[in-house]
Amino acid sequence: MRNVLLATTLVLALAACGSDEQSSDEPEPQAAGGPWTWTDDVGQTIELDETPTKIAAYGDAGAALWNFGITPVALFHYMDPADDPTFEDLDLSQTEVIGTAYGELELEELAALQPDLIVTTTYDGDTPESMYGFKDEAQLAKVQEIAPVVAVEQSGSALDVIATNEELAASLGVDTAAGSDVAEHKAAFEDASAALTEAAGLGRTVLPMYAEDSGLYAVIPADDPAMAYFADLGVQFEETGAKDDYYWEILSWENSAKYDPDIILNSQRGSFTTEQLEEQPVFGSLAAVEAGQVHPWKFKSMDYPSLTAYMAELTDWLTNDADVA
Amino acid sequence: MTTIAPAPTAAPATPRPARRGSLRGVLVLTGLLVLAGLLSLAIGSRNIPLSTVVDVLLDPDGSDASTIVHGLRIPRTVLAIAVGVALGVAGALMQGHTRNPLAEPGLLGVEAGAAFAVVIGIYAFGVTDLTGYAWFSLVGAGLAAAAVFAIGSTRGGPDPVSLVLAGMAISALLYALTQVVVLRDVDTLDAYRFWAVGSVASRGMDVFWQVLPFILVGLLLAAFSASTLNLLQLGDDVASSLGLHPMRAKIIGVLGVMMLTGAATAACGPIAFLGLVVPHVARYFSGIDYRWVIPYSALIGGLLLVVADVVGRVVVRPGELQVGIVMAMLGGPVFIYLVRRTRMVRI
Repeated sequence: MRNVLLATTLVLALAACGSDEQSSDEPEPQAAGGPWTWTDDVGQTIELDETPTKIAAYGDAGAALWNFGITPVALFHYMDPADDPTFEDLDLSQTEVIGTAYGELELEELAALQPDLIVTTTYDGDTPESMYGFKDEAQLAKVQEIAPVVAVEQSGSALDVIATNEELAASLGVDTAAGSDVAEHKAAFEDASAALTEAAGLGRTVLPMYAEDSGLYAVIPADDPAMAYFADLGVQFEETGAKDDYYWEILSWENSAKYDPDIILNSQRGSFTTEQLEEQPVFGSLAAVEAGQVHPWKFKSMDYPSLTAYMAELTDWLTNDADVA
Repeated sequence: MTTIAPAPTAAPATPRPARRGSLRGVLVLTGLLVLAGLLSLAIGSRNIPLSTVVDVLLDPDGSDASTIVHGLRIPRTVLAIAVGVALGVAGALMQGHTRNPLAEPGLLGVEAGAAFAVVIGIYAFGVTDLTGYAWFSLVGAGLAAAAVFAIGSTRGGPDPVSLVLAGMAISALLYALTQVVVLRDVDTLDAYRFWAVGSVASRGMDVFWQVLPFILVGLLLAAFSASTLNLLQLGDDVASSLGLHPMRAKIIGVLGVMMLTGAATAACGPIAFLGLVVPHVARYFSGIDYRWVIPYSALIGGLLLVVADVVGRVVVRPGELQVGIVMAMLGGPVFIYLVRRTRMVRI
C-alpha cells in the first residue's frame, strides 16, 4: 500500500510539473520495440524484451487505455460491454470481447490472440497472486501463463488513476506531448472540470446510489475516484457512510430517506429504474424523486474523454435542476 | 431343552405420553402468530416509537412513519404470514405423501421450475418487476410440477419414490438451464440473484393479492388431504382396502403442494428450510395425526417466517438481511438442535 501511495504521489508530482517537462521525464515512448519495464499498483515489476503492442484488458482498464489511443486486442468485462455506458463512445467491432460476466473469460480465445500484456483494475488489498477482474487465483495463474498481468489501482481521486493510465499508455508508445491527441483531450477535460466547479458553486446537493429489492446503496464519494474528483472540484455530496463502511452505505427501504439531496444519480449497472424508484413508498416521496431529478450515474473509465463527457452531463444537471431539498 | 434367555437389555425408556394436537394448541399458536404480526409492524430497521406506530395505524397521516408502516411493514407482514403458512403446509403435505421425513416442497421441481421461468421472463421478455416475476414463476412452477407428476407416475398412480426421483431429475435439469441463461447474460444474473435469495421486502400488497387465490386453493386441497394422509401412511394397499382411492388422494395432495409452493415462490423467491423444518416442529407438538399436523404446520410456518423477517430487519441496521438468508442461518441450527435434543416423531 505504501508503495502504491508513493507511486501515486510521484505520478501526481509528475502531472503537476506541466506537460512540457512531463514528457521529458517519462520513459522514452519512441522506444517502441525496445525493452519495457513497468512497476504496477500491486507492487510487481514486469520486464519485457520488447514493448508490448497487443494488449488485452479487463473492461474498465481496457476502456481507459482505448481512450488514450491503445485499442485492446481483447476485452473481458463483468457484463456485455455493448450494454455498458463505459463503452458508449467506443467501436467494439475493433476488439474481441472474450468475457461478458465477471470471472468468465475464454482462456483459449485469449491465448489464441497472443497478447503481450494484460491490464486489469485493482482495489486496495489485492496482490500479484490475487487481482480484481479474475474468478480466483487459479484462473489468474492461467492467464499469467499467457501474458503478464498488470493492475491499475482505482482509488484516490480520478486524477491519480488517470495519471497512472496516461503513464502506462505513454510507456506503451502513445504520444502524450503537447499537440498530441492526449494533450488535446486533457485540455478539454480541464475545461469541463472548470465548468463543473462553476456549476457546483450553485450549491445543489448530490446523492449517487444503487437500488435493489433489499435496499438502497448510497455511494461514499471518497471511495469512488470519479466522485472523489468531483468532490474536489466542489460538488456537494451527501455525507454518507459510517466509519467502517467502504464504498457503500447500505440502507433498508425504511431508512432510504436518510439523505434528502437535490439531485440523485442512479447507477446504470443493474439498479432499479427511475419508475421503480418513484414507486418506492419512502424513497419515492423524496423531493428529488418527485421533481424528476433522478439522473444516470455512469460508471466511467479513468481517462480524459470519458470523464469529460460525464462532467458535461453533470454540469448540465447541477445548473438546470431546481433546489428542492 | 435349555431356554435361551433373551439377553437382558436396558429397560426401554418409558415412552413419554404421545403429544396430541388440540384446539388449545391451535389457539395458542394463533395468538403467537398475531403477536408476531404486531411485532412486525412495530419493529423495523428504522426506529419508530410504539406510540407513533399505533397513532399512524389508526390514523394514516402521510408522515414518513405512516408511509413506512402502511407502505412497507404491513405488506411484508401480511405476505410473510401467507407465505409461511403456505410453505409450512406444503412441507407437511410433501412429507406425508412421500412418507419421507426429509422431503421438502422443492422436491417436486416447483422451485426449480419457478426459477427457470423467472430467468426466462427476465432474459427473453424483459420482465423487471416483482408482479411480473410472480406470474412467470407461477406458470413455471405449474409446468415443472406437471412434468414431475407425469414422469413420476406409474401404473398405480404417483409412487412416492418415483415422484421424488423425477422431481430431483427435473430440478437438476431446470437449474442447469437456469445457469446457462444467467451465465450468458449478466443483467439477468443481477436480477435473478436477488430473486433467488428469497425476500418479503419491497413487495407491495399487489403481490399478496396476486398469489392469495393460489394459496387459498392450496389450503383447501390440504384440508381435503389431511384425513386421507393418515390412511396413506399405512401404505397404498391398506389404504385402498379401507376404501380410499390412493391415486385421487395423491393427486389432490400434490396439486396442493404445487399451488402452495408455487404461490410462495412466486411471491418471495425460494425460501430454504422452512418447508423442511416446520412439519417436524409441528409434529413435535401435535403428534402424527395429519388433521393436527397440517394446521400446526400452517401456524408455525407463518410464525417462523415473520419472526425471521423481523430478526433480519434489526441485525444489520441501517440495512436489512433478506429473510431467505435469515431462514437459512436460523433454520440449520434449529433443525440440528431438534435432531439432537428430541427424538423426532417418526412418520
